[in-house]
Amino acid sequence: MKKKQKIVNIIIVVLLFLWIPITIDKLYNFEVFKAGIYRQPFSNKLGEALIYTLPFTELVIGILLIIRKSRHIGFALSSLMMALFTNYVGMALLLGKTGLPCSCGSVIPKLGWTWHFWFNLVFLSLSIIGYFLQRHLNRNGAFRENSATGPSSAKRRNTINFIKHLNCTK
Amino acid sequence: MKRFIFKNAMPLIALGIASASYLMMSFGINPEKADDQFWFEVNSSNQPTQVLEEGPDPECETLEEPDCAKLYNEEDTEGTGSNRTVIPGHEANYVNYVSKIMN
Repeated sequence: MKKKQKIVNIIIVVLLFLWIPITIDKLYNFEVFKAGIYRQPFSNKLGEALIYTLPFTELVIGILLIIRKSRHIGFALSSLMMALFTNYVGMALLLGKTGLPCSCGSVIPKLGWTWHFWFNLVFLSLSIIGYFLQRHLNRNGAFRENSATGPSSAKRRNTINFIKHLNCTK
Repeated sequence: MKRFIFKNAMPLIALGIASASYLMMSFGINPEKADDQFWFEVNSSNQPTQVLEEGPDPECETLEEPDCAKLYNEEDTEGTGSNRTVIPGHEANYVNYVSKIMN
């Protein structure tokens, strides 16, 4: 269980290293990101919607991964987003549209479309693995605080002691 | 202090990554600048006319009409702001990826 928790924590940190810089880059270089989206071969109306929803969704994923109770949702959303991005890159490669600009951040475009595909696939795999591991941990109550330590255990001990005292006085 | 750090490890890591990313962007990485390229409106003769400072109109569906707006590099244009125009003779140098793909 501890080993699985450690693996999940490592995956979370790796995913944070993906989503946070990408979100900040999109917001910091918003005009560049916007211009890149408009150059994609889909409707400008869809592009207009994506310009605002993509950074917001990526930010939400980061937040969900940080909060312990919502990590499984974060992993699920991360998997969904990576699946969509991987599909898009895969289709671009299959159809030979590698002349398209990639509006995905400062570092990733330098990889080229093929490397970008494998990069996305790795992170998709990590997200899926993280989701299943986190779900397993949630089912086994691993996100609850350790019963030996923490304020809730002290509260529990005090309650138990109080009840014992009541039982004794009766 | 130790307990605080251990309990809030993930948020602190996220904050660290965000700060480092922001600093890197402020001082390090130089991305392609949108300012180096400009969208232009296209007339009925398929020639660029006025610069679109806010980007192409969302009604301009580049998928259906690839050349409803054209993108030019800065070196193919002259002037500044709303007075920017495409240099005569450089009209064919547009960087409209959708057009290239559709053709």
